[in-house]
Amino acid sequence: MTKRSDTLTKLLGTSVLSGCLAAGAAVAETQLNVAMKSQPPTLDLHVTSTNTVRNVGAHINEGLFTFDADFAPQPMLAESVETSDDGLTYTIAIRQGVPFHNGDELAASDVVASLDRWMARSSFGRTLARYVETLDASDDHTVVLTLNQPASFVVTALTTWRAGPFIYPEEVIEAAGEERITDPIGTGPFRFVEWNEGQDIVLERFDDYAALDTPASGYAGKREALVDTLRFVFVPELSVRRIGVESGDFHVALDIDPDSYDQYQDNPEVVSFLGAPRMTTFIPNKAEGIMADVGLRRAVQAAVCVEDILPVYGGDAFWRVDPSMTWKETAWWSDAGAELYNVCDTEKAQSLAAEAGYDGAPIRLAVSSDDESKFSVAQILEQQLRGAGFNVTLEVRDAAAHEATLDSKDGWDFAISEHTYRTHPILHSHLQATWTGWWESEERDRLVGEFLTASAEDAARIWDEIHALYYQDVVVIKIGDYFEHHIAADEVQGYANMPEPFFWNVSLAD
Amino acid sequence: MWAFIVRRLGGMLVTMFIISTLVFIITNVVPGSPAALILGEDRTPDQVAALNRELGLDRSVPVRYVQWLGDLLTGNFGTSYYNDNSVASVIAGRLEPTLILTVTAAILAVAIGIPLGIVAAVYQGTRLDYAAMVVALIGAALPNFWLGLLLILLFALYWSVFPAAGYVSVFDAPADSWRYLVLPAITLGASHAGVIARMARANLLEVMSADYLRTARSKGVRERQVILGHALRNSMIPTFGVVGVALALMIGGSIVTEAVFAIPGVGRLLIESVLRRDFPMIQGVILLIALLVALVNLAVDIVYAILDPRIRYE
Repeated sequence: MTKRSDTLTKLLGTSVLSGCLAAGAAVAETQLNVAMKSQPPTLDLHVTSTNTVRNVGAHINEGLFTFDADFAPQPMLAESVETSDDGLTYTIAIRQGVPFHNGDELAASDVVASLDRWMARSSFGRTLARYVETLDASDDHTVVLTLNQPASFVVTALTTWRAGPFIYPEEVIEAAGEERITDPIGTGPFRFVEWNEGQDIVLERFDDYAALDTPASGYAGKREALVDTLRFVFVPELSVRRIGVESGDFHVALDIDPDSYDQYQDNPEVVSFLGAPRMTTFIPNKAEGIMADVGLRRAVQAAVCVEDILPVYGGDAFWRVDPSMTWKETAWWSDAGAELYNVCDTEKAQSLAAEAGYDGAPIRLAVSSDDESKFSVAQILEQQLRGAGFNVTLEVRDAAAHEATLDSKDGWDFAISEHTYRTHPILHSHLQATWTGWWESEERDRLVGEFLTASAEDAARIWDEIHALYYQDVVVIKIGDYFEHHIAADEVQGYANMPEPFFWNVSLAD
Repeated sequence: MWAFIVRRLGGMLVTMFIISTLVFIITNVVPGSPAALILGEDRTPDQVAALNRELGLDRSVPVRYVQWLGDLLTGNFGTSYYNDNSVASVIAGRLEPTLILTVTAAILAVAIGIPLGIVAAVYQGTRLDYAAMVVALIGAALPNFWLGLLLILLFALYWSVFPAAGYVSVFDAPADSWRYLVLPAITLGASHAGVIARMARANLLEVMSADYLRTARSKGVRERQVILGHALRNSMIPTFGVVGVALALMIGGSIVTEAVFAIPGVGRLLIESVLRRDFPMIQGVILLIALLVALVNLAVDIVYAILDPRIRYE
């Protein structure tokens, strides 16, 4: 017995030693391991608004503009932009001497090819496309965009991250054709190395990266790869992502439960970050079924008490009561129509329901079982609304079935939705009549038309009007804002904690 | 024997056809939209329609079935909806971790279970027997999921002996890969080790009361020789059947272990594909698992015949 355990000790000792030797030999190599919940469907940044795609892809590809720490657009691959006096022509100078990962230099033709594809494939690209007359390269490093009517949001649209206008080489765009891009080549500080299906995606420092010399701010300014390898590991199990950071297997873990926040406040080895604010809403089906009646929607709106719901997102630090459809962190925050937010008045709800002729017919509340917080929100809402006399029944499906239900007009009356961070009102899918819930409104069309072409001063006022209309028409019933939670080991330095996590300018302390 | 093997292979083909049809029907009847999940929350109806066209989901289910079956006969398993890779290549990449994990777990289960069972049987009724059976019962009763997390907590976080999660291929870094394998193999193997131990004990006890062993003892054969030379081989035949079943169960049942330890195997691929409604991938993985289970069963039958000269397949 003693002999056997000796052997085991030797075996363990040898391997630990050889592990150390291997690490010692590669002392210059630094690798940052980021654990994320699931693998992205693609690295084609144009076609999907799924956040896992940006988490990885935004290190590889860059856009013409990006947001600084105050969410103001700043040039990235663009050198400068000039607008003609009539507001119809945008002349964008492209930076010179910027290499792609394949060695080719970024040229205006790459920008035109990328923007053309983006305007055809991305939902926000298509919003911009409606205003675009022509898009051409006037020389190797200049792109000219002409509009069919003045629009105030061109640069904002070109700054989008979600399914945003990231720049790929022209031949990559051509090779993809109608399909998704499979050759992730960009100008970013990291270049793609390999994707081990189901396991990880490995990026490495791009040595020829052409960095800006302006100071880093938000996503803008100087970007620098401070680790040799950046590895995104797919770890579906939440507790394993957490333990992995505590044990040193991972440096960063994204999407951690808020309940662990307090625990990490006392742990010097793990740093807790409140990530992007998100918004929970309760969406009525305005096209078909019982909720197509705006009177009944207003009755439900009056019954909702958000303070009883939001604690499902964790402690006080993780949520806030806020009426705005655009976030407090941006210049677009609005409280127009807020008197209809968080009314929490059962009697008023009952009298509005009686006025609308509600007879106790069943109201179907659709929710996805994959997301614990959404499911908890739905359960509390069900109780609140039942308490106010609404005959609500929960319909629980897995994410794929739930999303398919939301795409059909006759399968649901209410749904719980969680929206990611938007920096500008035009990025809100709510504004589109085709988006789930189907908000058809001539008033909205008129106001949005004015908004998109208005001067900056007028735009804020018009946005307030649209915002009030949201509440009047009960497009969605806002519950509140909540925050994502990420953790990092204490050796991770320089993490900027912007709404979209990124790892350039991030280093590992010795 | 050869006729038997050929007949069994023929039967397997029929089974595979029935399974493929059932799997196709079930995956295509369950509600869910792969396009909605791929496009994300800001999707518009025309984007969904365009992607459905690209994926071939605008065609009717019977048309898709005929197309899929035709492709299958030419060895083409289709293309993943989710990431445009061929189903065969994705599964091939994911097979190695699952096979290595299940085989390691099976070896572990046998290496722990059979000695434990023998010790318990030989010392029947003593404290050693009870202790062995309590250990076996604990192994069999612990949920995979919980055991996995417990092991990670102890061995990765508190004692830092093994990594918490992940997978390193034995072909890439042989010296490193086993460290990633220990905890998941114990997690997956523990319950089967428990079952095998109990089976080994019961079967050995049954054989030990047989007449020919009494004869052997009365001839003066030493007890050690009686057990190892005469009893064990005969008692191993039914136990071996349990090992075969365990291996088949582990191939299908590695889903939880792979998810806990972030191992990129076919079990995790299956659950991910179901959640994403990646129909071609679901169909491919289930066909593969069915095939592996059928092959393991065939192998068990053949090994039976080798172990026990009384078993002959005509």
